[in-house]
Amino acid sequence: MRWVGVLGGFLNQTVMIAGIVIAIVRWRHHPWTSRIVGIALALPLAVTLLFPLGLPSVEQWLGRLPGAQRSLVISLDSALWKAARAASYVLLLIATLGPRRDRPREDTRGGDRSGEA
Amino acid sequence: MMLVSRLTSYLVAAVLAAGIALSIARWQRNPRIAMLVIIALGLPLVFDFSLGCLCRLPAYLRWFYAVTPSERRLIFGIREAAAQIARAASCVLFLVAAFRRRGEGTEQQAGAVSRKARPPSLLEKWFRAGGVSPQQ
Repeated sequence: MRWVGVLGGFLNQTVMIAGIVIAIVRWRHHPWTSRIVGIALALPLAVTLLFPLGLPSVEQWLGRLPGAQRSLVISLDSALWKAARAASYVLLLIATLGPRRDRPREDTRGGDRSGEA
Repeated sequence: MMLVSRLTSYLVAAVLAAGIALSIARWQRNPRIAMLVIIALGLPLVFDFSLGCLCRLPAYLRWFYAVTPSERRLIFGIREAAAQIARAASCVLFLVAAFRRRGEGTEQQAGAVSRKARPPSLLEKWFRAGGVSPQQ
C-alpha cells in the first residue's frame, strides 16, 4: 500500500511544478502574482526535493543511524517541511486576497477596442 | 525536537484557520475568490489536521493497534494519499483563485467590470426596449 502514498506525493509535486510553469507563462501578464505564486509553490517543492526521506536509499541511510539521531533527522525534516508549507499558504493568501500590484496590461494589438464593450 | 515538529503543525493549522477567517471577512468584495480560498484551505485542514487529531483519539488508537500490520499499513497509506490529494487540490484551487482574480482588473473596477462583462439577460433587454414587444 506504500505506492498509494508515493503516487499521492507524485501527484502533489506534479501539480506544484505545473503551477510554477503556469506562473512563468503568466509572468508577462501578472508579474507580481506570478512571482508570489512561484515562490509559494517552489518553497515546499524545494524542501521535498532537498530532503527526500521517502527514497529507499535515504531510508537505508536512516536505518543505519542510531535511534536518537534518526528521530532527530525525521523531526527536523518534518518541522522544516511544515514551516515551508505555512510560508507557502501565507504567500498564496497574499497572492489571492492581498492588494493588487499588477498593473493592467495595455493591449496594443488591433488598435482601439474601446467600442467592443 | 518532537515539540518543534508539533509546534510547526499548529503553526500550519493556525495559518489555515486565519486564512479562512480572512476569506470570510473579504467575502463581500469578491465572493467567488473567497469561496475558492475557503475550499482550498478547508481541504488540507480537514484531511491533514482533523484526521491527525482523530487518529490521536484513544478509541481510534485501540482499534488501530488491534488490526493486523498489513491492514495498518493500508489505513496509513490511504490516509497519506488522501492528505496528498487534498494538498494537490488545494494548490490547484489557489492557482485558479490567484490568476482568475488578477484577470479582473483593479480592485475598484472589479465590481463594475464584472457587471459590464455580463451579457444582458432577456428581461434586461425587454426593459431596455421599453417593455414593449415588437407585436404591440
